[in-house]
Amino acid sequence: MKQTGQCLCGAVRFSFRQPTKNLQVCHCGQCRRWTGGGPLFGVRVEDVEILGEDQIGRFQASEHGERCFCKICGTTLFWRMQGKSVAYLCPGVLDDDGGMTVTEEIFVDCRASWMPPWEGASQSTEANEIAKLEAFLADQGRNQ
Amino acid sequence: MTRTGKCLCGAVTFTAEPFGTSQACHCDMCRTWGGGPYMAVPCETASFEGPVQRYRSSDFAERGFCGTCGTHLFFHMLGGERHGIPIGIFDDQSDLPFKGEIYIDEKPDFYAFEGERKCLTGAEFEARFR
Repeated sequence: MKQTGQCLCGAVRFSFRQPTKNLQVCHCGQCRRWTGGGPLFGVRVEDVEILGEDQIGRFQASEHGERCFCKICGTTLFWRMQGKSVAYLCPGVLDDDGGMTVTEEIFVDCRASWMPPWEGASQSTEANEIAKLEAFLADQGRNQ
Repeated sequence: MTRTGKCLCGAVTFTAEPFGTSQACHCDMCRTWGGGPYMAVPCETASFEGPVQRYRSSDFAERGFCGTCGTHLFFHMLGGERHGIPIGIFDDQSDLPFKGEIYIDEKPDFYAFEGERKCLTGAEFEARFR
């Protein structure tokens, strides 16, 4: 069954498959500036369908990822690898955000002083994330 | 003291004078807007340059963001000069002590901050303005 969500003003609406209620938390410098404090919370979703696509602003903060927001109200919507159907949707836009648990923390060496580690969540450093990204991009290159 | 800052893409720059201490807002609107709590410091004489977009989120306030990258820039009570500016967009984020949390009754269970500070419910916070 598909879940639904929308931005603060309702100009952008989503439906998506949400396999789990697990949250990823990103402490990287870009996420912390984008959100104004951070970290960026995201839930992995698939098969995203969007109503109001033309109201989505897309900012390519790097060569591989895009950060998406509502152009009307500015709601932070999601982060995804460009061209991929998988996205990390911000939990604020979910119609049902109950029962969420943080299970994964990345860029943990950029953590804000007020944000303690989540007990039981996996911990990955900036160096580890960059190595994973480079391996992913190399693999994509081989498959093209 | 006046400080400078910018959004993620650099299209919007600002100068502002923080006063008081930083606080986190857990209210449903802030968390819908940003996916998590809104971490901001109150500022006097805030001045923004660049593609600032404004959204009137209630009959008494507006929220500003960069039209190019979507970075959140301010929460502004209409009719006043003060702006609540996210601490994460200041170039110098030192000495902005995090001392308060508001709308604590709307905070979901999936996060909590390090340490303890003064927490107000939405009703307690709004009572200050009556």
